Amino acid sequence: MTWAPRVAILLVVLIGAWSAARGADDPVIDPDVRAAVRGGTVRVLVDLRVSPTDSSSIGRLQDEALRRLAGTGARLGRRFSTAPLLALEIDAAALTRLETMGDIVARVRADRITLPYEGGSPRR
Amino acid sequence: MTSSVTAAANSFIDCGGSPPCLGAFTSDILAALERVYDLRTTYDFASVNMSLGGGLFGATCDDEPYKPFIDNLRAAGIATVVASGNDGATAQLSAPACVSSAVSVSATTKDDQVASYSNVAPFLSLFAPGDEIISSYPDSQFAIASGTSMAAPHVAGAWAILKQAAPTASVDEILQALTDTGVMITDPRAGTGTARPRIQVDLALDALLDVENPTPPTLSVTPGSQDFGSVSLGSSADKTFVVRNSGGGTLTGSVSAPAPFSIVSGGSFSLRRGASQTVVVRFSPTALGLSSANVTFTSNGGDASPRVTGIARGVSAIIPNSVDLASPPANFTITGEGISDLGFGLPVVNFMRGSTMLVQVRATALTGTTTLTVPFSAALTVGAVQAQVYMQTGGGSFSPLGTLALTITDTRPVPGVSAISPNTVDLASPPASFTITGTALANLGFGLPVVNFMRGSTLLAQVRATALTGTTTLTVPFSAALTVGAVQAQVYSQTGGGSYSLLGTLAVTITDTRPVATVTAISPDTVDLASPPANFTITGTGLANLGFGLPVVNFMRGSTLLVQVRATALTGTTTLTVPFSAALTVGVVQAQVYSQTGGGSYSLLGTLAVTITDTRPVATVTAINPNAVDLASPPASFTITGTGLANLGFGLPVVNFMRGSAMLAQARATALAGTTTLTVPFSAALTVGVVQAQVYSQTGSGSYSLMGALPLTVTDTRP
Repeated sequence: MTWAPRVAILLVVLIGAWSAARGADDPVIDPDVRAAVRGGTVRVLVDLRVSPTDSSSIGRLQDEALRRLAGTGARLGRRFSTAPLLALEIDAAALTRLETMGDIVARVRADRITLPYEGGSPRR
Repeated sequence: MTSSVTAAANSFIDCGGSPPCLGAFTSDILAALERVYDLRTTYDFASVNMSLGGGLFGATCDDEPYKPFIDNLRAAGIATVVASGNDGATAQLSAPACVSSAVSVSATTKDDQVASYSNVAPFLSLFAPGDEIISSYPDSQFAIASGTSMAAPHVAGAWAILKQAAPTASVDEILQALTDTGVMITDPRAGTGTARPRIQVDLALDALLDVENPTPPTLSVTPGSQDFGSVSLGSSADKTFVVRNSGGGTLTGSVSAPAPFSIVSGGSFSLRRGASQTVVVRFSPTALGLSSANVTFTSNGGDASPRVTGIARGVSAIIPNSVDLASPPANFTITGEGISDLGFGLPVVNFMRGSTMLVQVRATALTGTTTLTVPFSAALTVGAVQAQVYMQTGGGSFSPLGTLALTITDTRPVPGVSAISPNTVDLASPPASFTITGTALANLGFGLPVVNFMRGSTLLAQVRATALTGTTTLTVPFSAALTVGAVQAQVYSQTGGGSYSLLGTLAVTITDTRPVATVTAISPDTVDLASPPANFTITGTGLANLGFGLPVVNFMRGSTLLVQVRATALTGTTTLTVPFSAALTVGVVQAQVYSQTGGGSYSLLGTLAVTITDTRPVATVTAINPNAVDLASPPASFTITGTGLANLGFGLPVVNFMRGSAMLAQARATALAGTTTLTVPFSAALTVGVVQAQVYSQTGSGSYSLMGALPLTVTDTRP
């Protein structure tokens, strides 16, 4: 047996173990967020789990999430009143904490910079 | 007006590119959308424009964080209009354009094609102009830019217009109106064939108003009637009506008209609110007189029957329609309907025979609109004639009124010639003129008839008649050019500036009983140049001056003409006087006597022999004195002696002083004593040495005869 088949079998076993350990309500962490926090802090958008029929719970859930993040390096960027989102700046500890908040956190994704479209240099 | 706003991020950041280059965090953009939502009751927002985004998505991207914010705005009646992106993708949109509740917009060019850089996908909402757009620019300037960023604001702005007209319309309703009324643009790139609508704001507005305020279609037709005026038979004229939907919905219907009226275009219509269409009605009259009818408009918005009238103009008769050229009318009378002078003159009649126009005549009078007076023309010839009547409609344009048939006959006697008198002419006693008789002879305005006197195909003479008596008798002068033999007298009537008509050919015989001219003797027939006569006398018979001068004598030696001399007198018909000529030289001479028969023609009468002799002593020189000259004391002149020395009429003899072949001097004698002694001036050109004095007698203007050469010695004793 060569080394290549042995490595492939090991990877399949490890991925299967990770999938089995991840619960159905665990937050989805975007890979680039996970990579970014290893180098320091990163701006993220945190999707909260809100019942579609209970928009009034948006503020309560945001409060709860911020309360649980206390003691980490998380810093509030922006709260939204009409959508279950929080804009945060987090470090690795805050990300670890968010990963444990599957009951109220659905997804953590990078708060990216969006550019306006430009169609070439305008002529004046 | 309802406001349309561009998403203003709460905090843009420097994106690191060349200025102006700004970016914003997604969270800030979301905050801006939420801010618009929060202000929805303060301002009547119609739409949000977002000319930004990133990434490429092959399907809707409703897991993007924009989705709930766009949903909220949409639920509040505010459209989120997003540029599709400028990656040139043919099946992908950028985010947030890919959000299903956003209104995504791609760009078209000025010629309504998909802009090459536009992201397009089957789930794209709309196209709008985005290429080469003039827009505001930082620092209060304007610039031309291209991109879906330029297309999206067109939709956002259009949204404001539509929302103003239909304030209660939802995003779905406005998007539906724009989609339903847009021009479908197919993306030809990559063979995807994706087709989406390019907005047409006016049509969307109409559609939206129908939804907003439904009203039934209403037919409106203008004008209420049309008068075609006068139209020539065989031609047609068009008039237009405008049919309009002055109500709502869609007005559908059709138009019809009875003959001689017809619908040329616009016979059926389907018109939205406020839309109109032109209906062209044609009047094609088939009979003279007034026509009127109703054009029938039938529709789901009511009916209309505007009146149409027209008069068929044309001509119906020409009087007389049969003309005998023996008694032609002064005028024709043409009758018809609707005839008028349109300001370019009365109608014109082309009298045609097939495709050949015999003559064009303009009418001289018009009575009412029915009766034309047209002068008769002498150019009409026997046969069927078509009188094409035209009304002049412009400087060089004409409208036909119709064609009338006309027959031209001619019962006048046919012109011809029957006899010529005399028909035999003796040149010994020619007549002053011929008399030609015939019928219907006339001067047609181009002069009296002309007679060509022919011999076969050779024209001997052409003579015009000098008088016409009645219509039967012509007087034609006799011509001296007629020569003996049979002659055909072709008689022509001149019918135009250069045209003639043959009336007939008459035979004439020319004879000549005059005695034949001959010469029999010349006197003297021997001439000594020592005593020449003043004249020769030539005798013969039938000698005459034929009108071109007295006979001429060529004095010949063989084929060489020595001299030509014309006779100076003729006595009777037998004796000519011909001057002697000094050009006659010693030898036998043939005197050829000619009678001049024309300007350059001569007839030989005979040849007479003459002998020229010369008994004059032969001229010689024998001595020159002095024959030795000392240039120290030169003489004033030389004296040359000899015999027969003379001035032959061209000057005294000439002396060439020669040394070998070189001429030192030439001197003409200045005096001649008798026939023996010449005086020749001394010449200073003589130089020392032996000189030959060559003495010449001048025999003509450029001819000389050597009489002899005398030796001469020139010395020079001068110190």
